[in-house]
Amino acid sequence: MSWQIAADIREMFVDIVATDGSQTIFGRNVNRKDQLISGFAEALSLLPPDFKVSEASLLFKTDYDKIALREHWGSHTAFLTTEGFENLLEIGDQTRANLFGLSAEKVPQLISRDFSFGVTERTRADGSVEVGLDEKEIDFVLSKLEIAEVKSVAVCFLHSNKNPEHENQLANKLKEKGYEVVCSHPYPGDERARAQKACSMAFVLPGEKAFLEELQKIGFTKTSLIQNEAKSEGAQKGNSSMTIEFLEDRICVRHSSERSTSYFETRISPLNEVSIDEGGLVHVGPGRIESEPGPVAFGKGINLSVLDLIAFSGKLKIGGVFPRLKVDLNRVSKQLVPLAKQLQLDPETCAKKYLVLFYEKLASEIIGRVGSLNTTHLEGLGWLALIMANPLAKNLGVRKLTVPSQSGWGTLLAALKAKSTGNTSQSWGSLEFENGSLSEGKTLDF
Amino acid sequence: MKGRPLISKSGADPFQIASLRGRLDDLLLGFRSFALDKGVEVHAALLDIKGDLINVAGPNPLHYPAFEACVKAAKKYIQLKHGETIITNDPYSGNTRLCDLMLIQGAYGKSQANELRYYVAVQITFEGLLNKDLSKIFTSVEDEGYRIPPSLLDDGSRINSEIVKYLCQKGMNADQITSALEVGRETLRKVGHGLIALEQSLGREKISKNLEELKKYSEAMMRRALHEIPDGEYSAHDVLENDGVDKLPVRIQCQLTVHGENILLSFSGSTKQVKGPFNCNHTQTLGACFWFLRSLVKADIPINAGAFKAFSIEAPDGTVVNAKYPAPLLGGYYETSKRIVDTLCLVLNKALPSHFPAQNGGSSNIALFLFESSAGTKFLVDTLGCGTGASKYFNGRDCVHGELHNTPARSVEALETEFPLQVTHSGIRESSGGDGKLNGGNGLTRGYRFLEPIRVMMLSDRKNTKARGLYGGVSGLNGESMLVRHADKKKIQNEKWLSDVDKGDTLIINTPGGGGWGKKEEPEKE
Repeated sequence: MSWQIAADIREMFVDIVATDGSQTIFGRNVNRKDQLISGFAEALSLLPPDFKVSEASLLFKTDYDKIALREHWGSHTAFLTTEGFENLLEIGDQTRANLFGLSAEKVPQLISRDFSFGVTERTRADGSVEVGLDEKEIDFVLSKLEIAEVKSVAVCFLHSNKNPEHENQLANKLKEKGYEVVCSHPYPGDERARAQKACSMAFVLPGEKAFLEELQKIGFTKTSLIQNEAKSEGAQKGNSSMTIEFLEDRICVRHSSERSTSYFETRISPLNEVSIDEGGLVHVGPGRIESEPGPVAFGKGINLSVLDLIAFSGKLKIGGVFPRLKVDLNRVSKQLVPLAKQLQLDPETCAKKYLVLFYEKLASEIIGRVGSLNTTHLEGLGWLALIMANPLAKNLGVRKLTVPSQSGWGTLLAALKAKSTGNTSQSWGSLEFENGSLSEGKTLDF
Repeated sequence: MKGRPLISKSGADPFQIASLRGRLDDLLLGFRSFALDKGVEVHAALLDIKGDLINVAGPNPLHYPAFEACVKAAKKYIQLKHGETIITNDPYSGNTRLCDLMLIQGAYGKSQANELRYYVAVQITFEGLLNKDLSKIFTSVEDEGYRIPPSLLDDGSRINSEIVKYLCQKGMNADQITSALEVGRETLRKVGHGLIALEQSLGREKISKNLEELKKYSEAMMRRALHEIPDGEYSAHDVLENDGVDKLPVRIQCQLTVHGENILLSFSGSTKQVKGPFNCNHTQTLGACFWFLRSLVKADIPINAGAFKAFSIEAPDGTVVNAKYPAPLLGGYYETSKRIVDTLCLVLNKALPSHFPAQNGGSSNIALFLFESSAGTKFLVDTLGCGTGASKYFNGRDCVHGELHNTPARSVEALETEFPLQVTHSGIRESSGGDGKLNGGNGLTRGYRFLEPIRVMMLSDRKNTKARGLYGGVSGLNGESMLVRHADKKKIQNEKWLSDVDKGDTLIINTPGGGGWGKKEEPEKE
């Protein structure tokens, strides 16, 4: 059997699971946001010498889109909209990012004013056409795009969700000329929401393709993306289920109730900074350390994060699977001691109290986002699942939780399993916790 | 203030305080989400048994002082019983506008039967409650709608139908009102239960102590920020162009006195209350001052009675900043409140030169549209953003509500779907921001073509005056509103006006730009 690889290519780490049917290999590597592919290529060196990349198939997840949007690493993209509404993106909903503050800071747009063009057309609120799209007008628009040297185009016409005719007509012409095109009409919301979505998609599209080409340069010919979206299998009547992926740089929640399924990344994460303000109030977040500068414990940043406190409390076991990364607790201690002193606490107690606050905030965010929590069963996946699932379950009031024995690679294993069997159930061996204690005689105290 | 006001110095546990703060925020957030899910926009607050604010949430700080004021006013007249709800919309009982329905319930402890422990309050905004008779500019609060002083909405179970009938006299749909009131009552019950559950989990003594700590923390953080202002007296004034009735400027005069920890904003010298609807009540003036001073605090502090305790205001009775019955108030909420912020900006620039931006466009650009046809009556209150003032380090921002309310504007598609109009254009009004070393933000230009005859009332200010630039920066352009008649292409342009509009007529609104900062450097001549 040829090798099948599942990879999670993130900005701080790359996780891989590879199997040839007879053996399964697990690997991790550090990564950087601006070198996502090279971190992955390095991780492949953990595979045996007989591994042939050209025969392997690759399933992957990546943070590429998230990073590209955050850092504005996109392509030259144009925005085409109904004439008279060219400033749609800039005007937005006319609100400020912060309720308080005397200067309303300008929010940088993915597509600048110079690349926003109006097109003569008009669809009415009932979907009927008032002014049709003119062929000559399209030619004129095409000439503008050529001068602007754009690679991709987002199209959002007013009321296109009621009648997408003009968007489709223009998109066909643009595609004929070789542009990547994203129309707004398939997306939900008003013209502002649809325009933002179409622009985000168009902005990252050429980069995504380049990312795939980079993977192909490594030698992969068979690649497919693991979708993060929630699957829609319904939960049992009167109950709901929740799977949480706990990674060092991301916590993702998949929640299914009878009525709906949602998937989201939490704002509270192990990368949140911990701090105390000048009035003496302690904070977890909202600042994040991201991969640059990174956690103090990994020899990088100087601002303490939740992850550093987890390391300090001795819960972060990285060495076995991650020999190249050393956790430097002395660096953490240097930052933590003065903070604890301000709070008149010893560092251990200080770290523990911050973590208690972290779990409380995390649970609160999850409950706030999924609505009333009607679940009794939580499944934890990911590297920090053994550490985090139990205290979080207590905060959520969940009585039973499951953590797979290979929790670090849970999502990737599930993806491989689903690929090989066509079955999406995750029925591998697991450790079960009930009422805060592990089966097999293990207990987690927190 | 000397030394660090560390919470831990008081003996309280900063982690418990942070945890309590998070839980109070979550309660209100859950509260607002629940109501928003049901299509009701609300401001919401928790108050202690004295009626002092514990926490408040919502997109417009002008509303925040209304909670304490209404609860304290209601307490004078009504002995609230378990399960009952008080309703008021009366700006002369501390509320903001007639179209903001304030509902108040008690949260009762479980250990001692029916002991009142807290108040929970929600304010539901219903612009449809405003008087739709746009036959003249409002000259009395009674012209603006129907006032309900603090009254019992229910007997603990059923809503008093007479109140709903009273509210619906001017064409509001009774089912819509009842349904929103039910959502309000339900959310109040939920939050009340949540608050009591929180008290039970933490213990009564501990929660009381920690709530006090949170108030002290907010006060200390406000005082710390205000302490940057040197001791002294600083004054300035700004004007509204007129009140829509008398064509005289309306003066907002403010003096800031700083003496150690005492911060006093006095509005003595401001114009007496005016005939037109451009008066503020005490709540609105306090809300505008609070927004400005809170904006000087960088940290994300809880908004409670402590935060308001850090400063005082003196707003003489019967003036445009503390109007008395029956002065009309609607434009005060939208326009005068902004001019109060503009005046504070001028005052603080004297106290701390270079710390504050040039003036914002300073108008909500409020327009009231009344559509009456055989299909029924529709009423639209639309506001638009302006350019903001440039500051020492930043250009101003284009097309944004630069101060106070921060509610998303209606989208063009929503406007066209809901009302018989078509938006002809909506864009940045180029070059309307004042030039300078740093430029003021540009205003917005928008056109509305009406598909049916309607009546329009324009109440926006800054049509003749401009947002001032600072340190050599040029003022922003003033606003404009032009009605272009379809029949004869005649243009009507006026400061504040009221007009019948025919099918096919177009209203163009150009909103003011923000002031520039610093003298623009001329390019060197060869």
